[in-house]
Amino acid sequence: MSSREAASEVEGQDEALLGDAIHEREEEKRERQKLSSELTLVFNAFDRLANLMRVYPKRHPLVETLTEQVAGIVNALLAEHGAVRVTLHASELKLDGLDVCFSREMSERDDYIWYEPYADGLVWFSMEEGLTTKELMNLIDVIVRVNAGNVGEDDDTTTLLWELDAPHVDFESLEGFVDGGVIDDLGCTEPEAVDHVVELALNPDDDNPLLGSMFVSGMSGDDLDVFTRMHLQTADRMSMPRMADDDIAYAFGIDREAMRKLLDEWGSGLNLEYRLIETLLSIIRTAPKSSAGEKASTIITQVTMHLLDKEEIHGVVVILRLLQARRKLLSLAKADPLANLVERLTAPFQLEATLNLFEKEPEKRDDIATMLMLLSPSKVQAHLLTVLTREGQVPNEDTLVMILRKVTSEEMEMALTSGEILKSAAYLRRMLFGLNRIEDPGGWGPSTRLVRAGLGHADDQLKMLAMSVEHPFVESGSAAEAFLVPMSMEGGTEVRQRAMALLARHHQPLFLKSVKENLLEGKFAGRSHGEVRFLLRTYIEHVPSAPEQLREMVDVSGVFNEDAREFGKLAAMTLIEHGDDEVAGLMRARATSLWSSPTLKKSYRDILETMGLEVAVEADQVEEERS
Amino acid sequence: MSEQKTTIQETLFSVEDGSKRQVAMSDVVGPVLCTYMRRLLRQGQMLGAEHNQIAVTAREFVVLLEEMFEEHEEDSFTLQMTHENFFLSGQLIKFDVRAFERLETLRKAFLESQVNQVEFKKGIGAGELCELVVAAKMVERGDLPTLELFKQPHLSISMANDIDDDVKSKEKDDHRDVIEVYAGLLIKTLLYFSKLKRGATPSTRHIKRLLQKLSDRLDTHSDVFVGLLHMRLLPAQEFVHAANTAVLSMVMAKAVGLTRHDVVRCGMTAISRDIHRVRGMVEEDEEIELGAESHFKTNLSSVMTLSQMGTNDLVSALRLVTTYERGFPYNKPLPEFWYHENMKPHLLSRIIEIASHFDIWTQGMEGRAALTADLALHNLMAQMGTYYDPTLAKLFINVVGVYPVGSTVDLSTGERALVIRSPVMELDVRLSNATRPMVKTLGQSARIMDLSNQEHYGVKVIRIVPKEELESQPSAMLLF
Repeated sequence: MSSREAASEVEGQDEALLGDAIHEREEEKRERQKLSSELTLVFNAFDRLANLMRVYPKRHPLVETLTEQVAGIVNALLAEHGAVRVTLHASELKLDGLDVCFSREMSERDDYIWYEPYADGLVWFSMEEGLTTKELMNLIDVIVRVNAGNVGEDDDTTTLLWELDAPHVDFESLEGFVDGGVIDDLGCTEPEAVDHVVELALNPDDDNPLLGSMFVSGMSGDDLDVFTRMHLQTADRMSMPRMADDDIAYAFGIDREAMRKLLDEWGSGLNLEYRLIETLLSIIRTAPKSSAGEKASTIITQVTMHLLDKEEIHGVVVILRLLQARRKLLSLAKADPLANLVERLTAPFQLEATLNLFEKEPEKRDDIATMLMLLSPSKVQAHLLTVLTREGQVPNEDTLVMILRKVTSEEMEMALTSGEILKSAAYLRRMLFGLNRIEDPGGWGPSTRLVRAGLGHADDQLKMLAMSVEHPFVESGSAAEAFLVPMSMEGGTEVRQRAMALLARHHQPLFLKSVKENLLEGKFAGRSHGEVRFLLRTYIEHVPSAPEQLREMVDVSGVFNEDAREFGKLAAMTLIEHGDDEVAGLMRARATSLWSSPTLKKSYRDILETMGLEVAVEADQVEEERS
Repeated sequence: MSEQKTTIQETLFSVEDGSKRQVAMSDVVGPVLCTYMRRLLRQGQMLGAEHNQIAVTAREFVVLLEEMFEEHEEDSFTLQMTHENFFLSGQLIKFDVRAFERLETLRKAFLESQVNQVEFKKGIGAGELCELVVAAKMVERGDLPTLELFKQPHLSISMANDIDDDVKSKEKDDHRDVIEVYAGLLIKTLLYFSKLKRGATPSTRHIKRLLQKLSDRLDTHSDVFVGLLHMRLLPAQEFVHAANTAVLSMVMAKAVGLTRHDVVRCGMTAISRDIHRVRGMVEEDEEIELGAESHFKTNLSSVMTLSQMGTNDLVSALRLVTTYERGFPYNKPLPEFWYHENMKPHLLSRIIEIASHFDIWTQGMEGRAALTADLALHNLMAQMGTYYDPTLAKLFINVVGVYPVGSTVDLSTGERALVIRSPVMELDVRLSNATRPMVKTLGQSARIMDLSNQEHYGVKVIRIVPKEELESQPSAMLLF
């Protein structure tokens, strides 16, 4: 190959490579832009979530539902594109520092919640596939709090993100200081001082520029508190013979059990909560009207609210018990922490979040119920009743009655069954449904009135619900007479059947009376054949004389009583199914009798034939019927 | 270890009663400086450097500056800028978004003039600001190459180093990084205490950031931090003591098995539990005797003072407990024994007491010479069960070692060595390794020996060599 040809080939290859590279870059660019657009949607979703979280507490059902949806969207995006890193700027977010993926202008709410974290020094954060709902909720919670200024003096975005401990979220922040002004105490800037100390550590024999500036005297005993001073003096006075190293080795082994006890001590929390509250209460006790006392009260409230925020309900209960025991003392304080807590924890949104927690965390239910009892049972009850009477969908319906039962004392039971509240069909429906889910509903005071109200209601659904409750009242004679018997006669099919079944199970005499009145006297208009036969079967099963009575109904004559003929047919079929020996003969007799209507004759012959019994009808009679 | 339940210690704590957190000085002063600087430069551009309006604005600015110097008890403010941010004396300034966007021109004007730092000193006059506007105009015209040549008695402009990148993108040296965490903690604590002494209530979030970094490194570099303490890089002062107590408390908390959040909380509590003393707000008895009934009131008054200084965060709450418990038990005559198996201060208090006293013994104070670590530990041992929790004391001795990292020791072989690793801590064994650390012999044929290894059982540490006897101090690099 000539050199020219070779050069040409190389050039061609270069061009091809360049072309591939350009194509690849453009492809990458398109991918990035696509991802940026998708991220815009994601960050708008974050905005919506943040907005919701400004209003509702973290575990509120609305917040949880939206967070789950958004986490799903995010994970789908991450599954497609891999981990995403977003750099923060004053007014925009960029994907990998390149393409703008979000800004105030792109925000549907014309909001930019990322400035404050940026101003705190957050440079970038990333999300990986597998981001959980909890991680996302906590991440947005940090952003919301930072924007609202709801952070302690020792916190900012960086420290809070560190505390998130979210394996699928990573971030980096500015160091927090740069070359600043000269610090008078040191005679140099802050970074210079740090450098000096580092250099000193690396080269300790070198002169220390910091020593010349401020450190003319060290700490003295006056800088220590009196207790520490005392103790150091005590230690000075004690003389202990120096132990040999081997003796130390024998004496200072550590056993696992002792270590476990230390960890358990910390983990139990009771100790620290108790100590903390004791400390604060001592302040309040000593100076209830002082600002120190007020501050102590505020700290108690904040500690408790954040235990709740972290879903440490047991801790909340411990504190509430401690406070309840000192109710009198606290009422003298300038700011009563117990009253504050009751107000905050019984606020409607907070209660909804707590109820949601009750639903979602079964192992915490006892503690939650105890907590609610310690707060203000009447307020909690009032809230629950408001929710239960609400029209439309209500979250966690299943568990509301459970909670209501736990927080309602005997003195408070009347509120659940007042005339006014029982007018609400929604309330009654939820309560009756809930009664089936609680233990021993019959043992609960309000349940009787609730069941009675359900049985007596015009709505069939409520009647059915009431009848389904395993309750002594349903089985009682008064309920049977007042409600079940009338229901067995009127109303929808299901209601009648259910009422009849209950009567049959618990009140035979009444059942039979009802059947007799309804069926044997021909009062079964509006009932289906199936229902009539059901009743007939039940009647036969329970009443020894039933077959005889029904045979009389089979032996029907005349041409004008259509209802009687219909009933006779049903009675005949039921008797045959029951294995009655005599009914077939009666039917044959009727099938051939001059006094029977032709339709009845034909029906009986058909029934006998269907049931596989001998018909035995004369041929001329068949001819007559045909003509 | 049993599964740890989480309670109060796990709470994130925030102010929820509607009151915002205390605004940092940088957030108050910073925007004023930036706004007025921008206004002056803009007026200079639009109206000309000699316009009367500039003098009016400058006079307004100077009045505000003097007020701010008084209010914050400062003698100067330094405004720094990078391509992305503004800082006031090293603290990031937070603006609202619109203000931030408006200040783009200010940042651009300075950075293009090859300067990124402006220092305003107390006593600044309006004329000096007017001169700055003139100088800026000259730079714009090309009559002056850079603003860095501008200097007035109370106003100076400069180009400071290392502000070009907001995130330090220079090559990171991991070892240096670790040492910087400790060094940063010392300096940040110093600054924190300085501000407290001047009457401010500064934020501790940068200290917390450092402690979080420290916590992240305890798994791999716990020994290095203990070694750095023993190097006694700075003379013992309150801030050094506070920082060291925090480090030792965190090392112990980690050894107990606490979560990283709780480890950081231990550190924060240790740093800030005496801030009321730093501020000189305490009135207490000079001395208290055993059996005294007044000790409770002394303690409570201290706690009440301290409670005024904190905000409603968990660390503030925790330090109340530890301060309160110094006078433990409550409401009883001061007993002889602080620690008792049946009734004892909280674990947090017990951890910090050990860390604090050990540091005082080893760092020394005025009127109290520094002890070598092994003697300090003997003091600890002498009061185990009466003042110190015996389990924690044993843990401390095993984790830190009778001959802690950073100590120069004489060995039974006649060699001199540097302790580079704490003893290997084993549980449920008959013999503890507390006296058998890992050492590196000093001298030409340096070798590393783990004295807890059977092959080195014959080698013992004879003594810790006091600093005064050493011809040269070993470098921290040897600790890695």
